[in-house]
Amino acid sequence: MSTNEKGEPASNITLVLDKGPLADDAPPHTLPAGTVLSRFGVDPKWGLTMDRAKEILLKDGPNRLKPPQKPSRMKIFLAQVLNAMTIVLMAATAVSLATTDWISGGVIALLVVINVYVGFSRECLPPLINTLLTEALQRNGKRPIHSLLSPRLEVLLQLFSVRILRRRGRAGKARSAQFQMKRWLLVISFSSRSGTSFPLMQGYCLGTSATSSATKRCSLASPSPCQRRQAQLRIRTVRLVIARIWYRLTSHFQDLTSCNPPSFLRFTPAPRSPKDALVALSL
Amino acid sequence: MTGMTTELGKIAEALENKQESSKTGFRLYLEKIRRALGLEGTTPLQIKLNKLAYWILLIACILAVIVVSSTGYHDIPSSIAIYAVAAAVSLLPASLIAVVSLTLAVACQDLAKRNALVRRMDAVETL
Repeated sequence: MSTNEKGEPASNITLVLDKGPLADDAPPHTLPAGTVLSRFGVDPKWGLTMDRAKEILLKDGPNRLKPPQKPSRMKIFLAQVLNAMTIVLMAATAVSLATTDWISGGVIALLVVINVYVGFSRECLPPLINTLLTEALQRNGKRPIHSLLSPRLEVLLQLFSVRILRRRGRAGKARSAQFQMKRWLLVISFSSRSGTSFPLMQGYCLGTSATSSATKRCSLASPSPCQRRQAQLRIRTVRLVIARIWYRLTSHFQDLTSCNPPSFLRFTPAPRSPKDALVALSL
Repeated sequence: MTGMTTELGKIAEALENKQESSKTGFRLYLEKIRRALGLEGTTPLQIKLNKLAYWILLIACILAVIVVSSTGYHDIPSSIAIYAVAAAVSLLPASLIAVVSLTLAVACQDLAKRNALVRRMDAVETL
């Protein structure tokens, strides 16, 4: 193994980079670390000073990649519709309806609608939740928030966040979201472009995995009976809020179908022990 | 040197920009038609599905012509016309695209359970 002057092992990268003359305007990643440090006048022990960091920030701007352009909803919708198989099926629907074959036409139209809806909803809604989770992960680097969200709760968040924001007319204004874990409380708040933030939903994180330590932290395993009781009451309140939102969202479908809330939103008698409560409330 | 001026930034910019076709003349025209028909420039599964759709459409048209030809192409009764259309429509795999979409959506959900969020369903095709 090769060693440097101090007798310490030298990495191959350093040896390769130190070979041959390099121009002063060469990109920093092609230069040895010492050259880059001297070029920026940095002490490797302490790093950049605040003034120097501010100066470089003003000169070069923040070290941030330009986010990719988001496709419009219309483009996503057209991408679902404008493919050969869908067009052929739509033509078949038209021909079937023209020949008064209502059943075939209806069935094919229904399948086309299902296909377009599944593709559109999958590609259109997740960008929001993806953005939220990414930002949440960036803010809470030590705690992977997404691991605390069960898939069904994630779906609820997708639906509720988009629909509530749309209903409030803030869908276009919402810029970012913040996930905060306060003991058992999961607080999700959105920030608008103007800098103001507004809470969207406050709820308890009900994890699916009982083996997850984070889930255990979010469970009702509180040492104090008073705290356990408070947690139960809060969870029931949050479930009530979710159930209300569910009923409001589905109220206009009530006349057409008997739309019942999913089983995990139905209220059950209050649990007697924290363990039962965790089982009863797990999504 | 920060942000988009770094090597990573250049890579991100290159990924954002579509590579322009090097073809010229008739080949470029042909490539545009193939892209418009969905036979190029998309995912392998979509290309196969599009090819299948065109083949089925062709066979359905041939079947309809065969059924109508049984009348000798004169005084075609409406029942025969309806039968021809029904034969052509019944050949189409109506539920195929719905099954494909639902399968990919289920795969996306399964990946989400494993903390891998997928935005575009096409990305799951080759997994």
